[in-house]
Amino acid sequence: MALPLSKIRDLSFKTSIYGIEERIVLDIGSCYLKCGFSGEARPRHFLPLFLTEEALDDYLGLKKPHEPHWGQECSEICNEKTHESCRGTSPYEYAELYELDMMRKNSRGQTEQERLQILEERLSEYLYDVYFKYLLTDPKQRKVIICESPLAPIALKQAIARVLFDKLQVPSISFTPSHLLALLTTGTATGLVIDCGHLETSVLPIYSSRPLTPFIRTTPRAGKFLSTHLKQLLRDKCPISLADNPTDLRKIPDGMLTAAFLETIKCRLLFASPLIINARDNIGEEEMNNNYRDVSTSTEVHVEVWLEEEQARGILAIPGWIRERACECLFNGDEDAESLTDVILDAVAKAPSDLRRPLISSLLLIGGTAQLPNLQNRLLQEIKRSLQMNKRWKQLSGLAESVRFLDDLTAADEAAAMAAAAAAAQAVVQASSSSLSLSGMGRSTSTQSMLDDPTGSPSTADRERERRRKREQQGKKAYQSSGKVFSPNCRGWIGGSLVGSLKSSGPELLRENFNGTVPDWSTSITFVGSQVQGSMTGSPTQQPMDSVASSALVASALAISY
Amino acid sequence: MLAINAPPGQGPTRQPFVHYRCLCSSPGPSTSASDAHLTAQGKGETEDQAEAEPEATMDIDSMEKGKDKAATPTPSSPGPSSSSDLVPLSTGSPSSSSQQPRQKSPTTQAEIHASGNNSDTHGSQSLSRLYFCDSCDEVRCPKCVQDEIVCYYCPNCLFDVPTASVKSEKHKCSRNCFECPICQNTLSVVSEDPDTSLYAASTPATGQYHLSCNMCQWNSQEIGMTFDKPTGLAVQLQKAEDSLPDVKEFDRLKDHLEKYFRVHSNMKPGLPSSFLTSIQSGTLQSLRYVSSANHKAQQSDDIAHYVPAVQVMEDTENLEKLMSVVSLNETTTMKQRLKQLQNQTYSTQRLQPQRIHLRIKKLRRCRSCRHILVKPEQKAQATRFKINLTALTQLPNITISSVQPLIVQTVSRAILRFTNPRQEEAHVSLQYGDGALPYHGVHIHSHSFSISPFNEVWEYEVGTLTALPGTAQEDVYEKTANSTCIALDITPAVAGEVKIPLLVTFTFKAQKPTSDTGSPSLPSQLVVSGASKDQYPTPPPPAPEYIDKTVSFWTVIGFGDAIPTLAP
Repeated sequence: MALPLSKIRDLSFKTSIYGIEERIVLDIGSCYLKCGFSGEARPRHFLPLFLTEEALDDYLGLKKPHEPHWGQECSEICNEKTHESCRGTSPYEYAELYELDMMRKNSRGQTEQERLQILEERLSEYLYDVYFKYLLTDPKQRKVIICESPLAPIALKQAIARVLFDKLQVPSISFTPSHLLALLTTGTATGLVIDCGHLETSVLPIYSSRPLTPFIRTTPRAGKFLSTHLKQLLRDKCPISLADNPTDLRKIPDGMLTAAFLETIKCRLLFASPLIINARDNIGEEEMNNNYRDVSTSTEVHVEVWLEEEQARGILAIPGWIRERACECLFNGDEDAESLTDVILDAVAKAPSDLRRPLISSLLLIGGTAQLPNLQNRLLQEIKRSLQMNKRWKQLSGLAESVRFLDDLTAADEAAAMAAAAAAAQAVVQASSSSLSLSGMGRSTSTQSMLDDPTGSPSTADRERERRRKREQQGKKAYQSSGKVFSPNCRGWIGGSLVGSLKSSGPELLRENFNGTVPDWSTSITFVGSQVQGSMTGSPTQQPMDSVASSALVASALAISY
Repeated sequence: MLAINAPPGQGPTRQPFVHYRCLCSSPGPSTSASDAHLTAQGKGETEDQAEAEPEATMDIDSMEKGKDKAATPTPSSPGPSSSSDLVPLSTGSPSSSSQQPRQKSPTTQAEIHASGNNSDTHGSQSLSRLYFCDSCDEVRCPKCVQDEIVCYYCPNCLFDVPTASVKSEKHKCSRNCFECPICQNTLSVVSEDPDTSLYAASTPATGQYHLSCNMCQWNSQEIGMTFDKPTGLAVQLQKAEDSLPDVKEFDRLKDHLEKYFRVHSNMKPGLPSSFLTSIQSGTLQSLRYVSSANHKAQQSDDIAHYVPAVQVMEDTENLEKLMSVVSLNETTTMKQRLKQLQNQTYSTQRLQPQRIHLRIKKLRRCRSCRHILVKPEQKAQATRFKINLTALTQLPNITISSVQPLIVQTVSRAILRFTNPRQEEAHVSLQYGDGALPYHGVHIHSHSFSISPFNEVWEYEVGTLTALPGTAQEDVYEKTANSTCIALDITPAVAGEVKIPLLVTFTFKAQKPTSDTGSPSLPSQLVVSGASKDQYPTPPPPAPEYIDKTVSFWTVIGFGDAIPTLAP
């Protein structure tokens, strides 16, 4: 039965000979740009933006850096000023496409305007390359889908739209939230998506294909943080010995630990240790490192480096414990930067109480840093441990058994069995935990009011629970995940490709209608706010609102709960 | 060019350079005028090219009629309708009209003057990267041109790939071109001769051919990849790539989600078919599940149960290997990994050879008038251009012939050579831009001079001087075949790189548009390009009328570093 159907689908989705209907899917991160055609299972190209390809390719300082060409001959539309100002003088330092503080002066003293100008120039370079060097297609013919992070600066979206519309003249752009797209690649539409990228990690709950953006939680503990931590570890713990004279130890020269160097180490040697070592509160960092060293079973890796001062080859020995423990910094939080575990649990705790279990039992880890081997398993253990041990998450401790990643295969059966046994008990636990969790501030009233809202008589709530239980049981029987069939750093893009091939991406912004503004969830909220409070002005690119959504009831519920 | 060695401890030596400035990227606040000019054009473009184009033409025409009727008997645009979207140069009216605004409207001249009067190299490029649009009479840089794809070809085998098959072959060569997964060099197909090979005994006759890299000695036998016949390897590779689990899973997901989207769009006929339209306001709707009004809708909201097509286990092996790695070379580099998007593997053992990516030949149009600036021949092997309006063949080429070491507050002499690529004699006048920062003292010895036309004969008589160096003909330093040298006296104000802005006004004879001589379809561009390449196509078009065209543009000339005065 399925066969003829899929045949028909194949026919309807097989496009014309030139494939004009296929859209361009772009996932523009701060470090990498993923591009390709919709309907394909993987991006065509994965382009580094933050380091030159040369720097990215195994940079250990052994090869002489190529002198940059004089003048601006280095690339098609390469621009000396752009590169100088975004990179500083070293080609081996990070030059992210955008940063989270785009709207402020940065450390190099560039004003907001200059930064935006640089951003736009770089974007137009990259996007030109995407079309004419990599995808080899005429920009005027194809619609574009952009996978956007909900917290990406609006200025970035505007710059992307300007470049695509004005310079490349694409017919239309649709911005779609990357977290949701990534979630769709698991075949479900409810889950907690953890995007662990370079600049920050963001945790976004999605229920029934609707991103609950107000409940998003972020932390700077991500790729860049890891690089900084790794740099410190290497500098403090790894002496260099001369290749000729192994007993002659010296410190790593400062100039050596460039971003390119760290990136090389990071993506080739690091992984997350499968062992958790319990950190007690009063333990010093030094002692902790010693603990790590003692239990480490990984091998030491010798990396050959070039010592500029001595003009000699040196050997940098990277001990196993650094390789497996560098990413510990993602799990150890403090007040400024919460740990991954804490933001995830915080997002769960902030979500409406009856969503907690569905959310925590369908976690999805995406993003470039998530490529670190074993990071996901480690995160799972850390979450479980926090739920059981950490006092802060005591209210959620009932959820410990249902913690599960959507793309874990082995956990599937376990979780199902556990859930079956505890189904009844959980309902009780959860009911109590929900009221428990609401004991603070005004939130209690809000969620309370959501639970028994005007129409929500106790019977409704019961039915709700009943239904959920039924679904859970269904899910128990056969929820199958496809496992790690897609890599975490591509999932967002693949979702975009999926949605694009079904011709149902988000609202399209047409070139004719482009006036410099772009739709954004935050402006939409503002619009609703203005309806309720009558004080704010709506954005001109506002989507037509669903009548239900704009009804005062729900809006006010949100206003309170947020 | 001449290299100057900076004194030690002063950073890298600055090479001398000559950059030409394109108006589109002139920096600084003074550019607001030209910016507005450009954005106006940009808007015209974005509205509707097919319509905006003739409009603009009409506009200029009428303007022109009003202002100088006598000078050019405007052909009253033999039909803007004929200026099709593709080849708008057929009328000839744009080229006749567009030279006028520059000459007659002083605002434009002033605009140009204001736009580049500084020594900032930002947005300026060397001549070889620029184009000269002869209908706008302006320098065009790669940013203010628009590209179109002419043809696809494989850079390795130079095969012209027909457009129809490009997409299905994923923009990669479908013949026998592969790149090494380790070092990205080209692989060659190697036959294993049973007589000479060491492995002859172990290799069955069925896998006789394999790929091998001459650069890093990688061999596809390492990953167990051998082929029965030496041709059609790409098809086999592509097939293998297309049957990987992620492709299957993707198709399954597509089926699955399609059902969901369809059901969803049926449930709410009021909404557009896309369920994602509600995402923008999704935060509110997300709470609908609590309101019983939507209870029914909600049931179908949930995505149906999904059964995956494949189940892929996590690589635990990966982790174990990584734990026991001893050398960096055992794991793949990021660059290698990013070329292997099917698995992004850590293990070098699992890297696959990749088919070589195709390239394209591009056609470039001027963004404001849509005239073609360069158009290559369709064949991959051909290197000729059908239309070639690169600035090198149109504008005087300025080079630094010699420069004395620059010392702060000391006069030193530099010689600039102007070479005329055109068939007609040209006249150049120079002006030193006073907006330079820091402001160096510059004295130009000859502000205005002529350059002899380019003649093929010159190329065989190297060194023929029409005037000896120093002899004061037109007060220039030296005049050779089709080039003229002039002298500059530079007094650097401060140490560091010396860059000066120089406004060049270039007057040359150009063919008058021939719209009234009965061949309006002959594009003036083609004639010019032909001329630039060889000689005139003999015989030259019947009695071409010449008019003077004047083009002004800014250049930024860097003379290298000035050293501080030695005596304190």
